[in-house]
Amino acid sequence: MMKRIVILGAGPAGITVAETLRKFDKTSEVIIISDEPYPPYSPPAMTEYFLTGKAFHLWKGSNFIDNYLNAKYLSGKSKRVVEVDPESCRVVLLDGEEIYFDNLVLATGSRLSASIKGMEKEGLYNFKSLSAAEEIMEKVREREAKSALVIGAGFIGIEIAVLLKELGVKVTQLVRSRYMRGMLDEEAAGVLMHIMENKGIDVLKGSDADTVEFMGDPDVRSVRVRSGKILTADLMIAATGIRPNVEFLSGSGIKVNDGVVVDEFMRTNYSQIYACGDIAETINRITRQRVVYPSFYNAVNQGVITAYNLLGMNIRYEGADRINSIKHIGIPLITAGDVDSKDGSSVVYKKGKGFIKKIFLKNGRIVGFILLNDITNAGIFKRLMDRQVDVSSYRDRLLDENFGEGLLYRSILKIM
Amino acid sequence: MKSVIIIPDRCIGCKQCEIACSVEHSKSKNIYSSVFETPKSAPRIFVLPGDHSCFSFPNKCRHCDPAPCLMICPTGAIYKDSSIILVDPTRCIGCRMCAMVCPFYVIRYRESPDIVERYVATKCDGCIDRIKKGNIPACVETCKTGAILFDDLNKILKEKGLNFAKKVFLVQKEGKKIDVLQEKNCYNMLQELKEKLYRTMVVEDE
Repeated sequence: MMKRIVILGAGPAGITVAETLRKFDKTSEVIIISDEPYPPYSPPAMTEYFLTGKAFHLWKGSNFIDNYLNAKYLSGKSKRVVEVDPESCRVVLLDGEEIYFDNLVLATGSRLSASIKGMEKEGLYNFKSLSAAEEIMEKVREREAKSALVIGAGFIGIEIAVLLKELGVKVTQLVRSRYMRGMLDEEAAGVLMHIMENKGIDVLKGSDADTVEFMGDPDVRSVRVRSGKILTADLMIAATGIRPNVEFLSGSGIKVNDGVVVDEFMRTNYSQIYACGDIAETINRITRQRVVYPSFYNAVNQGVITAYNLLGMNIRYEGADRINSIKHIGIPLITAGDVDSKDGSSVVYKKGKGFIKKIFLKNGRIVGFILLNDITNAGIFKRLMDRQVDVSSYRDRLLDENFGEGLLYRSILKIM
Repeated sequence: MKSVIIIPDRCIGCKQCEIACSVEHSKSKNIYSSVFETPKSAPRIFVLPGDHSCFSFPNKCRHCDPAPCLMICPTGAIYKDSSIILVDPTRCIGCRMCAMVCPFYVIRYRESPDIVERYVATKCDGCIDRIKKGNIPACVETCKTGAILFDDLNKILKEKGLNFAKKVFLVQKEGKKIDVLQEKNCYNMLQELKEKLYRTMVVEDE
């Protein structure tokens, strides 16, 4: 019997679901619904796209949906989903269209979030989606924006700050505590700040960077910080964090906590409805706590698992990882796992000319690592961390030049 | 379906595969002139020391299926062509996400002759050009000890199984106390190497 699978969201998670489905199942009807007015694109390539202007970086192109995925693609503002009815298996779009489904995949992603006064005002930009980024770029291209204020120093904050600087905009960045808190320790964050300052970005710290209020009426024109100063710029860009797009699910009966609660098969509390990507609340691979980790890597992995389970393969999701690679700062920087814990973890540390490498261990097992400007064996550390392999016997050799597959392959054979 | 198979027990760490790989992926494909090229050609196979002396391990891309690097690549620069995972350097944005997820660390970031402004992902391409011409991969061709083979995996496994069975049979028949599961030491390795060389000579004579 031909199934109809409806995918809400055409981000990395939604597209991965469709792509993986099509590897095995050529007949089911697939409908992808997105409120972005673009063909599916790849968020990590956005910076590259705006820097070089080469559109082919933005993933698989517009004919990908028709030719390869063989799916129906509904996109645009009027295609926003306003209601999901799990009982009668139907979704309602903003323009009144009703679509019935056999299986539904929720992959609506996330958007900017902040608990700052004046957040809802117009004129506050963000870099979370391509349509939001295009708004910024329009201002930059028309030379309306000569200066920009980036509020927040997370992953997205770094990316937009570097991009605007490269495009010749004067950038000021507000860093409340430090760069990428939670993903970098103090030392690496210090190095990163040094890099950003060397690029010519003004970095404000401490009480000068703690935003209290967005001011201006009706558009945001300036921000007031905790020290009392009022900062102003042509472009106000908020990168204060993201939260899942789950508002349209209220009243539907689908269980939502921080994100949509899913089990290890990526199913929600309705067995025909799945959720993956930034909106899914899954478990951390190592600590087994329930978490929402929005990242490209997790979105793709969850998308693959969702597709497998849609096909009835019953494959468990191993858990979300906190791992990322920071681009465009000029040097490679990979950070993974828990790098900030104080309890009972020991550190293997190596610092040399222009690089810092740190591995955090707990009970002889890797729980996190930071590799700055030298990403040797990054994948191998990730593998050891994911499987929680006891590394205490070769602890001191972890950061050796010669550490790698040669030393490990025998122990891996023993595991298998 | 033939693929490159590594038998680490036979590797003596001579690194000739690294040289051959490097030459193969240079512009001139000549060992002498490739030294003077910019960017310098570099190998995509890495011989690493093993866990105790006299052991080494030729580490190269396994062309996994499903491949984590292919799944993570945000621009579609990594693609699959007849079970071989390849990188399109013009599409690569150098985000290092593939190096982050590759469990064997065989994707390196280097200058590419086509791309000047950034380092791009460089990995084993299974010598796809050579195979299309009917040759075997460069590392296999150059390996002197039979540690890198280009063969059908099932065939190699069958051979290995038969060898093992033979040893078990000997133990039972002659009552000899041979630990068939013992780890190979250097002496055994050299014996095997001699045997291997001898066998190839016999084949050639025939």
